[in-house]
Amino acid sequence: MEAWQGGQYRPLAERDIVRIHEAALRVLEETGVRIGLEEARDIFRKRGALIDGEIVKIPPALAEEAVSVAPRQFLMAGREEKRDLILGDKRVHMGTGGAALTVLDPETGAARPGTLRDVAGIARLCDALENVHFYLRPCIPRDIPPEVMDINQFYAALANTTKNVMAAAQSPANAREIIEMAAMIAGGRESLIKRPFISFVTSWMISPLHFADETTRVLMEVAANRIPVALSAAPMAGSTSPVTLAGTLVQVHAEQLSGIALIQLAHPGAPVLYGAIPSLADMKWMTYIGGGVEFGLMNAAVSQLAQHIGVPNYNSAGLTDAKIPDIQAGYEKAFSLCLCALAGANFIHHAAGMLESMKAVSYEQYVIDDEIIGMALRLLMGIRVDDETLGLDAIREAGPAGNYLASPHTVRFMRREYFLPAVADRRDRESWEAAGAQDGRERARRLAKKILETHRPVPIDPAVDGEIRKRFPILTERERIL
Amino acid sequence: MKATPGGQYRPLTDEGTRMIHESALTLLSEIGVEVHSRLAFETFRQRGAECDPAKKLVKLSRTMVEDAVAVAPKRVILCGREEKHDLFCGGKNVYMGTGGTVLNVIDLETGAKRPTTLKDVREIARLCDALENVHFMVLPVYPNDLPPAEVDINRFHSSLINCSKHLMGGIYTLKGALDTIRMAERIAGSPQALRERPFVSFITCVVSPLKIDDLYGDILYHIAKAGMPVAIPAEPLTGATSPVTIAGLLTGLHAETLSGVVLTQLVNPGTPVLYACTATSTDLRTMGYVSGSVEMGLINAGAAAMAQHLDLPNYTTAGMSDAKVVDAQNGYEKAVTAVLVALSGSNFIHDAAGLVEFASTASYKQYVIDDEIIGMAMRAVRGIEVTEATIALDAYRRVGPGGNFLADPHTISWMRREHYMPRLSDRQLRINWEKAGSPTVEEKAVAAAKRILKDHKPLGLPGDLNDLLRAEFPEIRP
Repeated sequence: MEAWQGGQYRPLAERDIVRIHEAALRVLEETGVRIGLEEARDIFRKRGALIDGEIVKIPPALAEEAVSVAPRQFLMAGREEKRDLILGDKRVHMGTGGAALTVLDPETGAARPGTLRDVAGIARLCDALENVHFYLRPCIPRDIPPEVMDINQFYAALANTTKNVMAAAQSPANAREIIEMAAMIAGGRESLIKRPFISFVTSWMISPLHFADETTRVLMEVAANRIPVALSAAPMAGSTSPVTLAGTLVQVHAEQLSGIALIQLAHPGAPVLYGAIPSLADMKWMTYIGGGVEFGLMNAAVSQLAQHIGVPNYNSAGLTDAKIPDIQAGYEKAFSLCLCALAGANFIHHAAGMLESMKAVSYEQYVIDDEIIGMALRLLMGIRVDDETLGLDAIREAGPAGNYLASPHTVRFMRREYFLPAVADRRDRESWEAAGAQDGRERARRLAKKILETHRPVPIDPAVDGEIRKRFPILTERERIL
Repeated sequence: MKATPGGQYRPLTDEGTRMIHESALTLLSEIGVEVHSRLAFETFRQRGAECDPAKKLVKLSRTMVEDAVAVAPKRVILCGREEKHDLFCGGKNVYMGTGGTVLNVIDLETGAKRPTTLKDVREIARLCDALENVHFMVLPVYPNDLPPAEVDINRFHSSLINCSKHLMGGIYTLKGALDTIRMAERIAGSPQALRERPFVSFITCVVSPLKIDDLYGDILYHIAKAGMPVAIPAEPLTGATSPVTIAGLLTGLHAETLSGVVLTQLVNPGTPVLYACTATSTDLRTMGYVSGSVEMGLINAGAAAMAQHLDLPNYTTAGMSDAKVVDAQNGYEKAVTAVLVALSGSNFIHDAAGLVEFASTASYKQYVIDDEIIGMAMRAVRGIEVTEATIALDAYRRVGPGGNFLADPHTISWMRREHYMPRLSDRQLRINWEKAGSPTVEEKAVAAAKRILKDHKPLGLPGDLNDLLRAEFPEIRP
């Protein structure tokens, strides 16, 4: 895949990055982290951390040394090579995210519980959307038994998109099962490790600074299997982290350092994503705020913090607190998507489809967000300045008061320099009214519908699919994916 | 007003900036500018520019441009009639406000599009006076109900009595410009007092590519002579009136606005002048003008970078949309360009409030919505403050692992300073939002606009002063 390079926007000055990093090391040393899981505590204990009950105080030298072993760059593959992502440096990729409970029905527009069909249908939609680079399972299938949920959401996603599929596992056993299924598709464990087209997200941290037992086990299991894993921690400024942006950044950085250190001490070199998602609490409604502009600022800043320690990063942009695909969704998403892309974040999830912060998704919103992401990616191309683009010859030719419409320079560069929107309407009001006066949501809904009717993703090999169905309790009917 | 510096986003490299500047100097000295205004042409000629009267062509040497840039003020203070509204343009300070001039408005009551009148000039001024994130007013609408000769003075007068923020306006007649300056002098108390605290300023333009026309050349000459602040935008459109490449457009724009800057400094060295850009892109499918494209944001952020290269205060454009209604497109187009240009550190970002449909139509409710978008963009510009107090190690010591910061004193003392509080964006859970009747942003904006127009009392002008103005300028409408 084309590598989009960010870094044109730097929310934190160099000295502020260092200050936050130093402060985070002090938090780990002085305040420490709470780890209930004995095997995890032992890993730190053996390397010289101070243990006091469940509190683990990590010396700065230990944290830095452990983190330095993490790979600076790694592959998150697609089932098709053209969908491969190389994570690291300031290369930007954007995709879906969430564990939404609610889906806005594409036909009625009404809010209803998410289903397994949505996990599959949205995967198919996103397989076709060119600016969506990976597929993090967007909604929880509430129509199937929880005990078969993990394997089924991975399957439904893998069967409908060849982009990298990321999701969570509720137990180490479930993670093993998912990896086994993926290995069958890959043609063996080694092939999967070489080209991991699945990845995991683990919300191992209960902010502030408290490791969750079971998720930490899952995290260790995934790392042991050398499958890429994102360390997700999402404190809310003012509630589970300090209200100040800088204070929250200190905390998320400390949390990431502790998690990455644990993995690298246990499994040196395991591919791990620095996964801080600093957010904020609304002080009036006491709700989680994804659409605040501060959310964009902080998530842009965490990619600088991750770059500082040389670990590829996962963060969040594209959330909105709007309930429907309206103007609020438009501006809130645009802010955080532009800020995080320009900051050079590697794996920006939640970038498409989300509404009501992380609680809902909508089919038409994916199409709208594909457009906003496209605009953000255009920003990363920036302004190309060279002898050709300066166009002095064209200017000489046109002369004062001239025109460039028919200039060969125009014909040569017009396609290269401009992003062409699919949702945005650029007609005058009269033509727009004559065509039915549809708003952005309705135009997007129709585009989504067309994709769902016509797009056919590259399927899993039928023989392998048969084997998978024999081995695992797959609930997606075969005819639905063909 | 407290200045908020941007510059965290850099759309051009130093090398790119230098190349564009050098290329523009080549354009000015090799190709030159067509100057149709006799006053302007003579000024250039008398000061030694290479001129061809038959072709009306003026070629500006590198020295001429560099000398003008050297005497042009590096900081221009655009005042409000109240000091709290003063704008310190220059460096990377960011201010955002309205723009125009448009002929139509979306009516607040009916939601239908109709021609604008003097009443709209007044009401929009009053609305913007109350919107706290709108930092200045570029006079946004044209009173279609007035004869052309009466437009300029009435646009400014009606805005002055309804809004005490800095007022900048396009101008339609030379007499209108001179009368407006004289009226402002009366309000200020003296010509000197107005120059010390200029609360009005003007926009003229250079026609792309590379042409100073008759009327705007004359007006620019007189405004410079009067020593009033002036922005000199060019509006090149990619592939139409400039090369299709953004770098090519910026080269032409840089040459064009600099030709105006040179003129002002030749006429009256030290004239407060803003390097200015209203450029945008065209849609390559139709070659039609678009205002909400992402390239539009890149272009205007790039223009700010070019002005910063010369340390000239600048005026740019952002926050527009091609949408016809209050929808998702409207939101993301405005936000993308607004945040880019703001973060690039542009000084005077106009058109950022109130316009829809290619900046061809004003809309009351849209001013209220855009006030929110500007508030967010300015919060992004303010950035992340990193100090011992904001890092909050003490709060960590108090709260500890697994604790909660809600009731910590650090939260109480910093929450308002760190978090922007939106007025329109909904942050409730869906269930509560539905219980409240699923209010839309648009409905809330309409209600807010109506409330402001009903309740807001602007500073206005003292009655006796207003009587004097009416006596001196009988065109002023009641």
